[in-house]
Amino acid sequence: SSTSSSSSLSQQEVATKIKQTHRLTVLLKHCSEQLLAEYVRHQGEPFSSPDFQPPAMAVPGLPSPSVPPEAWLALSDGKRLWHLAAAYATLPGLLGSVRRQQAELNPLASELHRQLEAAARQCLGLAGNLEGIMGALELPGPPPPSSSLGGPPTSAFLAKLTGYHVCRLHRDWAMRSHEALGLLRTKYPL
Amino acid sequence: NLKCITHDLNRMICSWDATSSANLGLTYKICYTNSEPFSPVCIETEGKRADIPVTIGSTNIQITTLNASGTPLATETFVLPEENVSLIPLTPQILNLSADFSTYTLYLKWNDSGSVFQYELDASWQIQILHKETLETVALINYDSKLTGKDSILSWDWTSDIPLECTSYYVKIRCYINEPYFTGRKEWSEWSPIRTVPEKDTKPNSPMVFPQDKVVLVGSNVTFCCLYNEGESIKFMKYGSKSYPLLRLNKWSSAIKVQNVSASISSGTNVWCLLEPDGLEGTVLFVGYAPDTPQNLSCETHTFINITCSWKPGRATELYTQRQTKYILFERISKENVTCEVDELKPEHHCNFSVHANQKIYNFTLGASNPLGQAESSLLIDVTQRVHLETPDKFTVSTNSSTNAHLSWYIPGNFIQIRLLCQIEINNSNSEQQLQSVSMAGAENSNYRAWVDALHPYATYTFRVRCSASEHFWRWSEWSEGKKLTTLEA
Amino acid sequence: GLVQSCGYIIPESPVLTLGSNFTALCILNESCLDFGNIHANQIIWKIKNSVVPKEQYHVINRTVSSVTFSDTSTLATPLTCNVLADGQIEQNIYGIAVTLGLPPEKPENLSCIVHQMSKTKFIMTCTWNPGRDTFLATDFRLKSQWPLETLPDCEPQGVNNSCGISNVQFFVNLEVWVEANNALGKAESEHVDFDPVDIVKPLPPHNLAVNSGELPTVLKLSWENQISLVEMELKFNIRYRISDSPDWMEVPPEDTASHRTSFTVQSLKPYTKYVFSLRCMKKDGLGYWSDWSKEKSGVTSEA
Repeated sequence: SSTSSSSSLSQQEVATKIKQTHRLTVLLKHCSEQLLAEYVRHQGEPFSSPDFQPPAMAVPGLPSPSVPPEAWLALSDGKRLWHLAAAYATLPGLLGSVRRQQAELNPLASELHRQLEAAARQCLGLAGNLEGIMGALELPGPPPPSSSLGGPPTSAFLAKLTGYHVCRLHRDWAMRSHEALGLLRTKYPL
Repeated sequence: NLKCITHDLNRMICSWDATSSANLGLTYKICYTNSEPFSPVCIETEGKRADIPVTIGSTNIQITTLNASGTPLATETFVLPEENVSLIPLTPQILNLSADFSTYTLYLKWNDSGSVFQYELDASWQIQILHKETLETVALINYDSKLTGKDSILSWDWTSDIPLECTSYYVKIRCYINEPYFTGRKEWSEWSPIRTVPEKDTKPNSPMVFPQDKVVLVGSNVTFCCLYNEGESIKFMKYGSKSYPLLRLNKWSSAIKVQNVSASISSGTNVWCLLEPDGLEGTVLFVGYAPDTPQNLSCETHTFINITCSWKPGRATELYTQRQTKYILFERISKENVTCEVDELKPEHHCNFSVHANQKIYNFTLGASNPLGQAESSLLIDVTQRVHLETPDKFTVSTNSSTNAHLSWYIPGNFIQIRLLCQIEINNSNSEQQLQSVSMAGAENSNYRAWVDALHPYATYTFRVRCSASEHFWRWSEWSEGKKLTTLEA
Repeated sequence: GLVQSCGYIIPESPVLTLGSNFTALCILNESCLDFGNIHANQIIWKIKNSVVPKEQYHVINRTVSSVTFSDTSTLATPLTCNVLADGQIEQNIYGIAVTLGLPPEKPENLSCIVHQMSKTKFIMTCTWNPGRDTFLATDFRLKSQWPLETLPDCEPQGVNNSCGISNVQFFVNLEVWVEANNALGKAESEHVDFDPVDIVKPLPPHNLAVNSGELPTVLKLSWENQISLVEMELKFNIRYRISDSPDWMEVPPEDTASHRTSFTVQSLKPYTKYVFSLRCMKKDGLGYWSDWSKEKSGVTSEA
């Protein structure tokens, strides 16, 4: 039977979907950490130095998971899923922009390109799964995704910095989504 | 204190002091004659200056102070030798000051007011460049020109050793006329009004480290600057992982000088400054090499439809994508050129050029260029002597006898102009090998046939074929696939 | 001047289903009628060069003659319309190419498997039964979609019964089906819906090492799994034999039913050389066994 987002899913099917999505966030968390490490490896100092902590930088369309952990845990499932779905509606486009910029800056870094492409695909898949769960739980869906990074960055350094922030936010959101789906999984056991 | 200055050696402006304190309502009557016995010319003026002609030799001047009712109060007479007249050129005007930020170059245009003098004169100019904030002189350049009796626009450019965005500049010029026969004093003109470099449009969150995305040769010395806003200060500035001493240019700009830069990684070397309270700005420097002379340039045709040139790029430039080496293949005889699509990641490059009807000789020049320079290689070929056929395809062998075999194969391409030489390799089951050559007329996209005899009856052979141009051998094609055949019993 | 054609046939270059019936019309141009004093009843239909029996003709009017075939299997290219002008010289008026074939059948037995190609590279290969030969150029496409996202079509390369997709995404349900298209019709296979993680054939474990233990009847195996733990947990089959014997013995599957990177094989003969090999698959039994790993031998210690 084909899984669809209508709320006709049984409790069992919702739980299966949540388990599947939680496994996806485990994969995403693992891959996003690898991606950030691979990304900084190709940008040169200061990105590649372990203690590189640039000031936060807003990435158009992508909120940072700034809600403090306690407040995040205090949110309702629906609100958490909404935040996740909004982030993952935007991340595929952003990761796609970073991949295009890195194809320009690092044409030889085929593993980095592969990981960026895989990350965008994983985020797209997660966005679909989240929307499926929210539909099944009859929760309001997220806003439509905003466009990618907007116009090309005005300089190579800005491209590197923006890409760094996208990869870091991707990792932060992956950790947040893994945590949130873990909570949801305990509520909807198989 | 009579002082007379001339801007054009034609008229002079004389000015004087008047000792009487009641200056109100006074007028002055100036009468002048030169040493020639002409009658004096008199003019009246309210100001203590007068515009009178310059004459050769000395000029007699009589100045009478008149009160409001015209009653003379005092008279003074002067004999003004030419030596006491000062030649001070008109204050020059800068017409245009523009900047090319990518090359750190200022372009100055001004009018030399040559029409002020009716004859040719040597003129000297001084161009002064100052830091706008500190008014410290950055450069003082002398520039000579010749006035030609007509106004002409002079232009001059100056290249800074640091990016123009790093600090604002004032520019002013002044002039000196070296009239050899004028015995009076010759002085510099006034400085022109100051002009400032058009401010680089530094939008709020635009990059604040310069130069931006510059490409330089390995070994260059490069100066970078970090601009910061009011209330910010710079903690440090690094080239890659190395910190450099900060040179303060002004209150919102500091610079570092990096010597003998080495080749950068593909995405360039980062240059970045950390600001207080929490800012991070940066730029990227791409350090590489100019293109090497293309090596082992070789051109051949496979089908007489295209000529394929191949070459090795030589030393890596370390520059990629938009900064990579671009290749253009130019053919002198037909004056045609082709932009070559190359894969920078491949060790060998190729480029196709169409074979022209009725053109045998091709004089190729392969040009390689990147932001750091260019190089080229040339090659002259006769296309009929550079035939490298495609691998024979659809190779078939058949027989209807015990001692001979029919061979047939297909070769794409138009070889009507030449004869082909094909080599047939015959291996029998005892791995004895024979090579037979056969020459045949070339055809167009055609099947070719050959006949092998003197085979042993009821014996199994493996045949392969390859071909080349007959008259001017260049290269064999690859061998066709092998085909087995067993001859009939005797 | 240009030779003006005296007529034409409709339909032009038809594609016809084998075994169906077909009618063609030959229409003479008015100008030619006057010139050659020709009538439609003088038209002779030919397939290649053999005359079509007159019973199949039907003269519709002075300018139009039709020919009907009850079974297109007898048809061939070209089908020509000719006229026996005065003086009994046969003149060709027009000819058409006829293409015979069949609409595609519904592709059957669609099944997919995800092959692990390297640590991070997976290719999902779907195969299907394309059905009978259609004798026509038939385009097959493997379609796939996520619940809310259509994915790019997969175009088979040089075959019509399989296609490989490289962008595999685990933990997202995928719906795939096959579409077949040719000039005579279109057919679509059943839709199959699965999570690609459940149809994986992983690479076998590698870097297998065999070490003797303290006891002479024990050998300890250790290896590396080539698929990441975040993708799936594995279960294993371990087989071993005495090096000079062809007969494999197998560790009971229930002993190796959980994820691991080592295992101690017991009840072995002391001071004996054994050869080991193992394979793996997804722990929950969904998917396919990997190939057997390279064999590795080891010797139990002396008693």
